[in-house]
Amino acid sequence: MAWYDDSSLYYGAPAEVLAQGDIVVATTGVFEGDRGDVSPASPLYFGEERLVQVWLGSTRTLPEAPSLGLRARWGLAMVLPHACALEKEFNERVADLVAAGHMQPEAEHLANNDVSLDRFIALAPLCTYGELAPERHTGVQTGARLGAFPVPENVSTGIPPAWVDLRRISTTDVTLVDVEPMRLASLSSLAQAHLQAALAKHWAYRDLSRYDELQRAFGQRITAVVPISTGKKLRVGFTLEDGAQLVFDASDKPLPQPNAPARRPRPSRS
Amino acid sequence: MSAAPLRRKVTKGRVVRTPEGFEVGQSVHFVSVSPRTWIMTLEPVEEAERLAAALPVAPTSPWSEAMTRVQGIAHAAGRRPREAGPVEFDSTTSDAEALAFATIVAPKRRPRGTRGVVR
Repeated sequence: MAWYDDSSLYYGAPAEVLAQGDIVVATTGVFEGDRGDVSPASPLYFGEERLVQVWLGSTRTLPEAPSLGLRARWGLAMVLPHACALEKEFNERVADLVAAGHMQPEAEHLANNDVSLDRFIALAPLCTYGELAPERHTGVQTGARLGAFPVPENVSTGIPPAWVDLRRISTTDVTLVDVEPMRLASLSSLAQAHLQAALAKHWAYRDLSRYDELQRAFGQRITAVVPISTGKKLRVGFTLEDGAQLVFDASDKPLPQPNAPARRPRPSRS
Repeated sequence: MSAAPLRRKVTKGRVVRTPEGFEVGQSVHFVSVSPRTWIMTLEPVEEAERLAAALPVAPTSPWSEAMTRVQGIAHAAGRRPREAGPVEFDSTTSDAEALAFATIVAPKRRPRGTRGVVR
């Protein structure tokens, strides 16, 4: 059992405030082209989507905006920003108020009452495996597939085996989700770390496993990586577990071709 | 814990575009058939509810257990009270730091003119 299929490893105790990886009841949405109708009513079911008309253009030319629809989804969604990002403006305001002579509790009270601080939160919808092609299931369930993050079943909250679609991230007013009872579950520190890696891999398209490959190539753990600024030329210093220091210089020269094993010609069948 | 049966929903609306048989401004009722399907009818609410009751049972949703847990709880909006922490100062990224990130943590694939590799 690993973090992605063991709920005791995946889920953790909720923090006092909203935290990265929290699973909340929320609306997410994707803008689409000239489609959709006025929504007849609020969705009644989790996972329900409505394509609603947002704008109706008339000229089909710039500078007027085009006709626009919104595919709005109601259900469970995962909080993506780190807690520090969710409290940045709040902390700055408290610091400013304290600097202006307020006592800390009063400053926190005033800042808590300002709903404009840290107003936006990025959420991604939880989807069921029925919404995913069967050949993708294993890659998503094991956390290997870029653009997806697995969610194992959580019996106590009724969350089924699901996955987070990182391609459908949308922004929501935080007051719609940062209140009881909208939070259903929270992640463990381990699952939060995997979420951070999944976000970096998806958004920067960088493969963090290369770090492991470097450690295997060095034969021991890397304890520090330091970029050394030398003007235009890239130089990076590595510190290994035994204290050894390695410094690598970037080069524009192409790597030599690896020597392919020589193949003997096949004997003629004739 | 077994999932609670999903109830039918009948709600009011008003026609803003005109599917066949309807006119703009008419009052209608919407009857839920499944999570993504509704029937729009000009029938009065009693008839719409009778129609809803006569429809086949909606398919069980994978989310029904989670919905059962929160069923009946009132909607709320607001924000949990926060306590001040250290201010996260903004910081610049040097060329060397950016290049180190983009080089050591290797790209999944090089940018191409086409949409390229399937992962």
